[in-house]
Amino acid sequence: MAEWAALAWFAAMLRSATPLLLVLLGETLTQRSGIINLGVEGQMLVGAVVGFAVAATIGGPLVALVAGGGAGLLLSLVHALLCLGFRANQMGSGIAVWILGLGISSYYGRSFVGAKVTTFAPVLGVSPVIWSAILLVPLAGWWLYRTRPGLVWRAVGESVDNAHALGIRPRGVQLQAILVGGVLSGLGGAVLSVDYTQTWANEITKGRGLVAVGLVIVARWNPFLALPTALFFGFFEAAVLRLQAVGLEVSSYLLACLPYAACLAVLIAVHLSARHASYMPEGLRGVFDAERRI
Amino acid sequence: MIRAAGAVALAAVCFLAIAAAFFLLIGKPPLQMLGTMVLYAFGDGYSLSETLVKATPILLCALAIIVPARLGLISVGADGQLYIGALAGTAVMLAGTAARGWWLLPAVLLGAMAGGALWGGVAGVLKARIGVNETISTLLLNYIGVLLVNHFVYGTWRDPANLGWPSTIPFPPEATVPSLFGTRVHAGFLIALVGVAAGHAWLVRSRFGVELRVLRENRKVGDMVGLDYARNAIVTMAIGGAIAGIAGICEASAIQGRLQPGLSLGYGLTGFLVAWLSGHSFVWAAPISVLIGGLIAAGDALQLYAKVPAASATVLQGLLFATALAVAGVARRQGARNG
Amino acid sequence: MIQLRGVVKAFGPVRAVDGVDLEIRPGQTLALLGENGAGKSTLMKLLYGVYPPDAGTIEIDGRACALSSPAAAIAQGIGMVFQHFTLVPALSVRENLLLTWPRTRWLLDRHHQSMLASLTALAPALDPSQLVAQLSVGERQLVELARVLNIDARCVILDEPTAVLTPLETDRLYGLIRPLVAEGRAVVLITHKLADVTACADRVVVMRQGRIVDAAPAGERSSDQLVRAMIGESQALEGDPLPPSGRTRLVVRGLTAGGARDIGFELAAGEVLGVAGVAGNGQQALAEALAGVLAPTAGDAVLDGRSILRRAGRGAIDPRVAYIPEQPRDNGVAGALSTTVNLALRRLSAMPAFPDWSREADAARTLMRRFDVRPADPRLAADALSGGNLQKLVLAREFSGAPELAVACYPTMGLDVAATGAVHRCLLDLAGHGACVVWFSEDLDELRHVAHRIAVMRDGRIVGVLPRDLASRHELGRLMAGPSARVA
Repeated sequence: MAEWAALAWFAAMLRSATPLLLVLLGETLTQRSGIINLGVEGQMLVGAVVGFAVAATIGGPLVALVAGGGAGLLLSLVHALLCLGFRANQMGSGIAVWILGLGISSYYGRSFVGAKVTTFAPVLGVSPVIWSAILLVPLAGWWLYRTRPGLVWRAVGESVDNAHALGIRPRGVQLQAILVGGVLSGLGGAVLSVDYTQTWANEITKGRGLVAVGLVIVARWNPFLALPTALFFGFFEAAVLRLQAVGLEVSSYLLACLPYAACLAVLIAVHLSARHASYMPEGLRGVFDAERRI
Repeated sequence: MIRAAGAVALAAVCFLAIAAAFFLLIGKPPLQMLGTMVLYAFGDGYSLSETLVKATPILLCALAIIVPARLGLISVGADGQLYIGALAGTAVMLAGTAARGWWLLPAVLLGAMAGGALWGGVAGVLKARIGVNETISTLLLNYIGVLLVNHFVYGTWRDPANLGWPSTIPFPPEATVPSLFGTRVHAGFLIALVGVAAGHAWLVRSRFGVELRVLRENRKVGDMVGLDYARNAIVTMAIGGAIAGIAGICEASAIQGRLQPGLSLGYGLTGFLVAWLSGHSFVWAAPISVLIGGLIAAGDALQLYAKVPAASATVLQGLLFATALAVAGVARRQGARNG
Repeated sequence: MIQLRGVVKAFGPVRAVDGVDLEIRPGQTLALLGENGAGKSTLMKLLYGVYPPDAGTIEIDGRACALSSPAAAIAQGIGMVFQHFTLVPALSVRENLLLTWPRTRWLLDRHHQSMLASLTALAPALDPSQLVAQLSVGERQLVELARVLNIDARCVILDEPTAVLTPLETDRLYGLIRPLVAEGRAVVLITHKLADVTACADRVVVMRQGRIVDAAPAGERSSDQLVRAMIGESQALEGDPLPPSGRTRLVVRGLTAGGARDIGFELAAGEVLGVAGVAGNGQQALAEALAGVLAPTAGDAVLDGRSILRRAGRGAIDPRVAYIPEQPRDNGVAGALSTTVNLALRRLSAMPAFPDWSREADAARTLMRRFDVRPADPRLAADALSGGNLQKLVLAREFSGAPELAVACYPTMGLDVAATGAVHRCLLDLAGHGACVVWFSEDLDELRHVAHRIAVMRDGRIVGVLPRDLASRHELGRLMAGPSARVA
């Protein structure tokens, strides 16, 4: 019986981690090209609401997920336009996208609050979405380190000027990176509403996208490390539910702080060891260190 | 000067065009909508007071963002600081509610400032001593702050007399921020204006303000001449937090009458928007807060009277921010090109 | 065969390239000679597609070409080795080469032997899986050159290639240029050093203030003629430094900080110590430790009996020390702030809570006039100043407090002759008043001219100190490359 409990716990961890894994993967790839996108939170939200709306009206979880990814892609275009087209500040642009995502998802989601949808049948005990997400990890890592376009992305992330002098078009690369991040974060949101919770509530993501932006640092901008990092967060999320089910005499709200506090704690640990700086793509240094005017 | 005015005018025109497009998209006549919003925001005495009610926490949160921004810190933590400030102030109220006196209100305010300062200071310390990016840490602390308030309001502080809705006992009059002229507008608005004046006086022409600017422009050079980035980071974040804390306790005591979930309606994020739109200037934050407060108050009224969801106000804020960023980017490029 | 006709490029009001006609022929080395700011780099960057010309045409093999980006230039067979390299330090040598190798496949797993051929020819000992960040400057330049050869460049442009090399590495570079030319390529050497011209140029073209003022086969011009063409009049050497007074003021013992290890020397009043050595051998750490920017881990530096070092990074740097950092735009000023504020920086902490800024502005104007900062506008943002004037601003600030020790790092880098002269006068003047000067420079000729003694740093240590009359290029080069030798 103990094995079943442990398996159940692990399955819960996987399910919690999957939406975050998708956003984390997307933002890692985006940051690898030297762009930071706080708007992934808003992209997740529109992905969640559009995916849920499609699932609730047209039906079919696969179509819903695709629609969610598309919604995320469209919203990420705003960030791309602002940062690459208008040279706006990346932090500000990300927050503008976040606000837009909040508003749009609230607006269109109000008629879906409390509705329910059905999702895929489980494969090997968990949703097939989870297996696909896990598969994406080595795929993304292999693409980044072993293919030419991945090499070009990494070069652009290190230095836009150098890449330009080498004959690369850095803005084209960064556009692709933002859009890829858009699809993945929208997909993550759709997975959250359609597959994980199978319902819609306002601000359903509860900051997962923002947590993902922080966790990219923890994952050292390495797609391979996105999986254990997301599992770590999923562990705390699952723990919140499990501990409550076990009857632990702690307020559910304090428990709910755990994932955020854990993320903060890990960030602190990473910064204390001071090794994260050597893994950071140089192009991000201007955004993070803020020793220059942004 | 003229170029800046031109950029602002361009941004306003672009925003109005985009807002009109948004209204068309949701199936409402744009000109009529915009006119109605202006009416609901500034049309009569009641609308104006509602606008100022909204503008107060927005302005205070904007100040909470502007102070650290003078050092170059991008804090989005006004919401969390607001909540923890309200939490601390409520704790003081609960402790002193039995022995009431004139001192209760100042004590409550100080408690709120301390709580907010603590929450802001944490992010400041993390940035200054450990190097954790303040945008990310304040965003995480926001969520924790809201949850902590929920913990107390649903738990040990819950008023048993209030069965339907979780909240604390009502704030006694001695602990409530007084209202102005009998309207819903309260003294918090005056505190915010004092904050604007103080901020401008203290941080623009003073030596301290110049020191912050030097550190923001070039930390290495500032360090060379003896300026302490770490100390200034903690101080500015704490001051910002204290101001947001005042916003929190004002909302709890004067507007809602008790501490309950849903204390802030995104004032922190809106404050961030205002701070950015005002170019991180204290003086400009005040009128822009009133404008945005009007936008939100109008949004509420639209939901009540015109069946337009209040979320449209959020969408409009996002569109406004995006437009302003775009125009600012273009203006900066033009400026650089012209030398 | 590349032909530039009537090419013009302006940045705001400044015409960096002002109507240039130039011919680049294959099988020849063309030296593009001129002092800093003459427009040589800009001209070649136009050819490399970094920016488009405002007017004029570029013809390659008789056909007009619009080179809209470096990719277009590379496609035409033009390769450029920049002064500040375009290698990506965080990636390996192999990955850097793969980025520009035209035959790179989608999958990077193949070993691409032919890609590494040029690299093995230039630097057989280099391991391609090393990160570029771990390479020395000379090695990086070789990788850059291999990169250019990989694209089968018919025209190879080298931008100030010897500026950062030791004399030994410089000779090696000259040796590499000859076979390139023999293969029928065109080589353009952008330089401000006559030594480069004499060593390998077939033709020399002199630029001054954006225009070509002379063009001839290299053999037909003497050094003197070339110098006169470069700066427009015969070069007036700035005054020699006065002999030091003999009273020892600065004593440094066992100073260890960052990349600098166990540094020890003594300076007399009015003495100028030059510190030579290729950048990256601990000079920056030593300069920062002496200036008080970096806290040392061991040793001491005592000026007139009191330590000038700053422990634990607290407080301002010692008021007796003037620090002229390298790249002043990044390290010496708060760019967006006014010249007034920048001039008052050292005194900022001591100013009252609400300073009288109009009085500060007047003082700033006077100070800027004294040090010939143009324009002497107290409200101008510091980074609106040109390189030379920015350096003079930093000097004005640092010297206004009558310092006892000046630590100057590459103070004339990137400055034209007039500004260089002004900086030399300033520092030598200070030494003449009895202060000590520690002068870091990569320009051996400059140090041999201004310093009483020259110390050479290698691998973080001082490997030799030579008095002026014994410090020939040969001796200094030997110290920079070979084992340590203490002479003075």
